[in-house]
Amino acid sequence: MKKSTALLVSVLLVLSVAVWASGQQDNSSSGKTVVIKVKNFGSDKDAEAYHAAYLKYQEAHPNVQITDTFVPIGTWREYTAKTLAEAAAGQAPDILALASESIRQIHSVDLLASLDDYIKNDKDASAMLDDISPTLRNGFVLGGKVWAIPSFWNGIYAYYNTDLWKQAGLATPTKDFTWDDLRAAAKKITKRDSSGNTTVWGFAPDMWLNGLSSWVYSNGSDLLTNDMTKSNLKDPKVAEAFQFIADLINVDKTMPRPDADANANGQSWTNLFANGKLGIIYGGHQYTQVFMANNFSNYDVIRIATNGSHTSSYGCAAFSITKSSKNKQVAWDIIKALVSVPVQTLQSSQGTSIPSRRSVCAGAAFLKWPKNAGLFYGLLDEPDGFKPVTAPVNYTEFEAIMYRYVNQVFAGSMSASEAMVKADAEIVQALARSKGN
Amino acid sequence: MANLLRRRAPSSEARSRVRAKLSSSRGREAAAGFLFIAPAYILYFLFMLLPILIATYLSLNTYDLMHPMRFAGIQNYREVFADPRVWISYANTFVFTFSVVIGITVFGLIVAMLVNREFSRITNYVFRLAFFLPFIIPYAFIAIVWSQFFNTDAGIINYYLSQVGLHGIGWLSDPHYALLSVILMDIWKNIGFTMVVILAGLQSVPKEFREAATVDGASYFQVFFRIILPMISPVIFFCFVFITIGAMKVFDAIWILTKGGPGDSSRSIVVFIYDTAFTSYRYGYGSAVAITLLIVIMILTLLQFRVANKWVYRA
Amino acid sequence: MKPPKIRTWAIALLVTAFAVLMLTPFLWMVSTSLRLPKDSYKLPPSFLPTSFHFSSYISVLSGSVPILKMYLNSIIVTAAIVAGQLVTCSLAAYAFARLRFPGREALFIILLSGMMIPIQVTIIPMYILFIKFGFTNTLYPLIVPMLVSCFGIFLVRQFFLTIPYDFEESAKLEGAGVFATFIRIILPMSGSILSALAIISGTWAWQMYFEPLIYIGDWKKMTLTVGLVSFQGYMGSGNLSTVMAGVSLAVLPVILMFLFAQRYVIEGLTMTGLKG
Repeated sequence: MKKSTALLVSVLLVLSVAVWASGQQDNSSSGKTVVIKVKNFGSDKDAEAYHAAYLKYQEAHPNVQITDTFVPIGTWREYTAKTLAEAAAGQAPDILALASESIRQIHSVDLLASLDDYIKNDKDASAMLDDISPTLRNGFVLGGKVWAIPSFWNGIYAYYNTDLWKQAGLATPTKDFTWDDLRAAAKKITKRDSSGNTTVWGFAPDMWLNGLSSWVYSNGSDLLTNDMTKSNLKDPKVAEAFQFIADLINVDKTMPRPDADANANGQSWTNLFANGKLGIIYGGHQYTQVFMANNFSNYDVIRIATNGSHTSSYGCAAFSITKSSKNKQVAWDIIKALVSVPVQTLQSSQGTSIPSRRSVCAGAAFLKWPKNAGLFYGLLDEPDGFKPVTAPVNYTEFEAIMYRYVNQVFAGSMSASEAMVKADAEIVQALARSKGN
Repeated sequence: MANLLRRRAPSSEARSRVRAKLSSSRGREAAAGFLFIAPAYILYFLFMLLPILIATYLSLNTYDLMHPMRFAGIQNYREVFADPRVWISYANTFVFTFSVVIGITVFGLIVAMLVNREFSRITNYVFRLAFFLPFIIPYAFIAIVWSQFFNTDAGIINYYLSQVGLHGIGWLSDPHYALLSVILMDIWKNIGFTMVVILAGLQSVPKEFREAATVDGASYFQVFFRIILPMISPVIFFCFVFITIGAMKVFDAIWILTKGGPGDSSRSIVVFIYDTAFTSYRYGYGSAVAITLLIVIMILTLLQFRVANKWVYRA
Repeated sequence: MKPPKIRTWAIALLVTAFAVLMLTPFLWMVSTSLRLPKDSYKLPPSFLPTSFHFSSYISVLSGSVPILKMYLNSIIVTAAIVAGQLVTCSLAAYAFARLRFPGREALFIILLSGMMIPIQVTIIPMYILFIKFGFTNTLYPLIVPMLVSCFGIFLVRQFFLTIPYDFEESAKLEGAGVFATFIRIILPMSGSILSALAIISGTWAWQMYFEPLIYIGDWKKMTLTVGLVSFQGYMGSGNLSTVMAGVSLAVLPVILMFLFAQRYVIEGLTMTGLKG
């Protein structure tokens, strides 16, 4: 019996070690130490910059311990779902990074603490807030209260290949670059080889919801009403915007056909552009990093093409404090550190997203390239320059529904007007359900 | 001895003594039996039976995790039957399952037949490696690689198609082809499984059977259909059941390759459940759909066993 | 009916062609990972490595993608599940095969029908319960529900049924109890079926995607399968070779292990098919 018991015991031991090792979580220490949990997202370089900020803060305040959960963004779906799950489990962090896409969803489940009091009682606050464009700040004001401080953002711009432009004999695009101009330019730039394969493409959009929103905005319309509570999909201008893109794919054949994954599309299209095989691409500031990595600099940035409106779409990340946090004042201090000038300057030099502070974006590090880099932040201050991405209370569901229909429109299997009618029906239902909760 | 001679019924003490002995060893065995199945059964109860009960309860409610549960009766089930997307998802799942079961088994059978020869050890080794490798690689990685093969305008398959003068196919961007792409990838991944299992079955068919038949003048096809196939039918049946249950639950392949799109053209029922529960936060409705899936799988498996009783040859 | 030598060669060629076709995606994956990032999308694709730039591998290993941590998580989960299933399934299988206790047949049928239960039915309640008990972002939800496998019990029981009674009889005569018989006599004889079970459950546990996708949000606790997929757009966005380097790194150890253990894996699988 001894041998078998020993065997059993050792098996159980192995099991328990495995289970213990897996259960290693950060335990909050007791006593005077204040533990602040942060849930954040971004790119590698953002993580580095924030980490440096945490270390600096902890040095200055030795009784504070910051634990950071940094999540790579796959889709908003996952990030928001996990955040809500953690909140439901009573494990909400103190500082929560969220974005324009999720602010209404997270706010609606009463997860956040309003920041107005902290702003009022902080003498440094107004200097910080003045340095952030009101366009960005207002995206996080709901019901007259401030719920988050913008940290970094991305808008939809148009990058065009200066060489291909010249070769096609096109004039440098002005700020009144229209849809028709885009269509004509794409046609001129697209080249096919002898067997009919396209060697150079004309145009590629941004396939994130941000990018799709921008098309609709530039047509003077929106996917939802301005307060983002009712569907606007029946507006023929919405269908017109999507049909335009669909025609570029299927009629003009100047745009590559998108696959289901917005991520993968972005990857392959930026790669095309960085290899001089694409005339014009819509996207955010993060593309400049890709171009830099590929040693590609024959491009410049302009506003997206207009069809009556000049408004483009942006998505902004921001820091908020959860209602359940027991150390809101400390959390506020840390947030200030995270959006401070040194941290944002570090972020700006890596070229991913655009820092929220105007002063940082006026710096040489940010304006390094491309030629028109002043446009990135400058557009925020123009009237009708930017509008936040369409993001209702049930954003994840909304996004999923939009993609299902837009993908079919782009595939040419459904007309945009038919798709929008169907999408409208579903979204009306979905919105009604979310209100009922 | 004396008892027998006396021909008297055993005394009551003798009877109880015997009974006690029997019951104690039987009792010990029974106790051991329950003890042995306890770990498995407790886990089974906690993580399979109990959740089904909870899921059934959930399916009668509306719940999104953030707000309190609201009773909904059979409202969710009514919606399940009325929701065209549920029917589409089921249709896709059935098409997928049917195609994949046939494809994987037939191709596996062909390859097993081809490989069932006296090749050298190295050749055998290499063949088995090549065919079996996709089976053990996680689907996630396979799907990442295949999405590059299937890419419409910069993808590898379309590149070669255009080289021979054919038009590229919208593998992942065309609703007519999305499901087919997933099917192709799934067959590729799982051929190894059926090949290996069927090969073992083939090798257990005694050579005498085949040789006796050919001596009698039977053609190769006759030998195959009349003798080999029936003898490996248990193995084939096993493949059918195994692949069917797996295919009805397909998620990884579709989620990574197409996310169910474009539209709903490649959405399986499990992808639909995932979307409903974790994207729309409709845990009640999602549970209702999941319960229907449970019932469907049960019916399918029972049907398969019924069919097996008629067709499968039992030695 | 010995086929002529030529036919054997023709068949060998055919099978080789098939085999190469099967391996094509892997070849492409490796050769793309060895290209320079900016060349990764270039057509025509190369199936044999033409260039040998290891920069992508370096950026994957040194980047913020914690590939080694994710490996560790996958290994922990797999090891725990395999160990757990070996214990619970062999115990239960022996009881169902050899021990008599009231309700045995009924209990077995109920257990067996568990094979048909899709995880999707159980995962929503389990997800909610795990959240309410505070187990988000741990590996527990991945491991504990999988510590038993209905299929495993069925498989091992089939094997136990074929063991002749003699061994247990002689053990009983020597006065050994049930447990001792099980440990000392039955288990040592069951090496083949237990390794078959270990391989099947190990393969399956390693490939888990759905469950980690749902339960894990913290990338330090992520398993390899989900982590790598999530990192596609993240790993040097726009660089296919980096993604392929990551996938190659994830796949390589599995391939190596398979090369060494091929015989056992295939034997194990064969046994399930024949006994199933």
